[in-house]
Amino acid sequence: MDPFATLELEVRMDLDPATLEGNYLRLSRLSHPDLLGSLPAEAQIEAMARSARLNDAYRVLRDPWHRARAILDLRAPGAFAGAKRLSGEFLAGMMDLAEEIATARGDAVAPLRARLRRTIDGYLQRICEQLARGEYHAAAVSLHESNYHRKALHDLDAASA
Amino acid sequence: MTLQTQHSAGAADARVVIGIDLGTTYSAAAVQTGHGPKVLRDPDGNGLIPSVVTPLAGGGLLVGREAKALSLDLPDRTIHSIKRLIGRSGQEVLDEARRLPYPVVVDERGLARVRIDGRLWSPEEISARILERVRDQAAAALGMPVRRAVITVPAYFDDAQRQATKDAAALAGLECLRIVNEPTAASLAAGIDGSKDGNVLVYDLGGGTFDVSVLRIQSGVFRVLATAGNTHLGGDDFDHALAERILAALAARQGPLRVANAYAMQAVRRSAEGLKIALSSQDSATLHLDLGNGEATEFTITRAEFEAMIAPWIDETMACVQRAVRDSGLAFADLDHVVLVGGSTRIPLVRRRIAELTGKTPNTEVDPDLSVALGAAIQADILAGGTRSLLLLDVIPLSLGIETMGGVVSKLILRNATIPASHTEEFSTQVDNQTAVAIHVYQGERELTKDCRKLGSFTLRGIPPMPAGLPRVAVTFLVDADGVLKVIAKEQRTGVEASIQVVPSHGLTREEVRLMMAESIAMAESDMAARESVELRNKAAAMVRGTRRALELAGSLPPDQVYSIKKALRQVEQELDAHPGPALPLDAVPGLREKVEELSRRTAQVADDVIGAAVKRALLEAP
Repeated sequence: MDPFATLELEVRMDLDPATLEGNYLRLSRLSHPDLLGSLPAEAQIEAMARSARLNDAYRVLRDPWHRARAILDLRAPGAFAGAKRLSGEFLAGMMDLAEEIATARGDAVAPLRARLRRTIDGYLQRICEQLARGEYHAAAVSLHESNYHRKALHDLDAASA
Repeated sequence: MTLQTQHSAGAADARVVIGIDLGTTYSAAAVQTGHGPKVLRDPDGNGLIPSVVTPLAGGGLLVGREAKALSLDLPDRTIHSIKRLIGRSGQEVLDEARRLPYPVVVDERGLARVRIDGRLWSPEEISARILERVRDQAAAALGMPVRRAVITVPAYFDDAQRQATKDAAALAGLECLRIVNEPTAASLAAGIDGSKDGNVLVYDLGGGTFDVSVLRIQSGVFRVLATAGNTHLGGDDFDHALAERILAALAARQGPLRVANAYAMQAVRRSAEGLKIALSSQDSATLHLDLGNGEATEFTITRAEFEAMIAPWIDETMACVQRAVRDSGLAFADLDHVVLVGGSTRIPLVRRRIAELTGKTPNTEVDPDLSVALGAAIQADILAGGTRSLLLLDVIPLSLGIETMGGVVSKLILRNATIPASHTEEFSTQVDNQTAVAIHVYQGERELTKDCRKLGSFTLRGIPPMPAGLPRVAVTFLVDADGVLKVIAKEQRTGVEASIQVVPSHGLTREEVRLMMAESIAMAESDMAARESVELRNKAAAMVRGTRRALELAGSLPPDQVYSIKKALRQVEQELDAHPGPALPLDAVPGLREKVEELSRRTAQVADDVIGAAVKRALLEAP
């Protein structure tokens, strides 16, 4: 499924949020079963499925990480799965990071969180550039790596909550 | 000609869709009109119908106000708060059931049932009786039959609780066009007409449930961004805690009390509710008890003490508010309105805490007891094709997933996903020539199946025999606009449609619903009129007994009120004496019904006055 086509949008990372939301609401009005009560049952089931597709497309495109993955899957199907094996060096770094998170206490938490956020922002910036240049394998690797960092941030937040 | 007229009248009736708020303690109905939604009231102007059902000993039922009026007289057969049991297993409601004055048992499938005179009542059947009463009151107010409705449920109701509510509607002979979440409905009625864009937080604390929803309104589309809540937290809990406090205080003062019977508990519980309500407008409230022999005692509680008592529950609701706002992706500063719904939001502590947390003065323009029904009426009109400018987009409150290896839940649809939502997952086989695959569906946020709620299981059958791993069965999980899961499966290689039979873990099976409906239709056909006359006689006799007892207990009623009750009572008694025996001649039915209704109107006013006296009696009564 192409969420961009579903929401009648151009395939690009820098979507205008107002256009995205506007298209979603306009198309929902046309498809939502609540407003199509007079249609026969078959058409209502179809409307239900169309609404579900719109909801899912909006869920994907609203989030920049899901959006990047959707572009990758459209432009280079299979690239994401093909980049699953990350370098030993990267994985070793991640093990150190996990250790750091597990032992972070008190004053150490805030700087660690800020550093992780900077890293994650950096990944998103890089992925945007890689997708724009058509470097799909590199973008896929960046996406996989960024998932480790995002998971690390999630673990840190969970541990300090 | 005549036929044609009848036909067009039928078509007009079929178009009416009402909105029903099926509440824990009260229910109400409303309909959209040219001047906005209107509550459908009884001839005395009451919009709220107590969600109470009393099966009588000789057959027949009391429902609504009549049932509540006699709840002191028939505590162990007065079924209230059934919403706390609907769609749940017996195991899940054990604690809850201990607090209820009527007997709750677990049936052979592990489901909670109410047992009265040896008959087991499912929560769906009890809810159906309440829905019938609501529908009849609505039909009388509208002057036409009502067959279709939108029914509200707490936003945090899970799949099983939603399905059970739909089943209750079917048993009541109502076509439920949509299950709508209560806070979402309330947002439609809260004077925010959709013409202005903005973000709204709805805090809904009712008799038995708590919900919070964050909505974004844009160009007439009311979109829920996030919801959180607790389906077992509400004013009932405050009443219960206050009743315990009263009993403890009186026991400390008077020595051991003989109050362990259901009758006394009911009386104390209702006086607790009265104190709670008084504390919303006063700094302290006192329960006076005349113990006879010139002795008297009283129980006083200050608002501060009451607030300290309920603070843990209010803290929990505030934590839910924070979670919902965080999940919505908004900050508190982004909220334009805060709307309060549910009777428990009249408590000053609730208003203070929500204002402190959100930094907004809550909007209290619409009656918190009626806004859900009014909003449901607006949604009913949207579905009926009347209002075309508004659209509700709601969410699923809890993630849905399936069991994978090792008791882990693989989530397919995440919480707060906009509904309708669908997800397609491929399944294969583990051994050669396997033709069936069992799938277990769970709802909840935790990782392991043991920490989530099992919704049910189904088996994919009719998979063509093939080597293991080769068949590809695509299973689509569709959460419809009611928030209810539907499962569709198809084998990809052969296109064979796999048949699915879902066995719900917490509700009626489709077969049970079918049987119950068939039974009720059969009953309707088996001399309805004769059955009605027996029921009416039982009801009248129960009311006479209950009213006599109430009059004994109520010492200080105004003489004119006592006179009018006694007059109504005598008229019912005369009718009963004129026609002894279990059945009533059919021509005597309308006369007796009229007199019973008159008595019911008179006694409803007295019921509350009797409570104080009832507590006194309970304290003095020997076990």
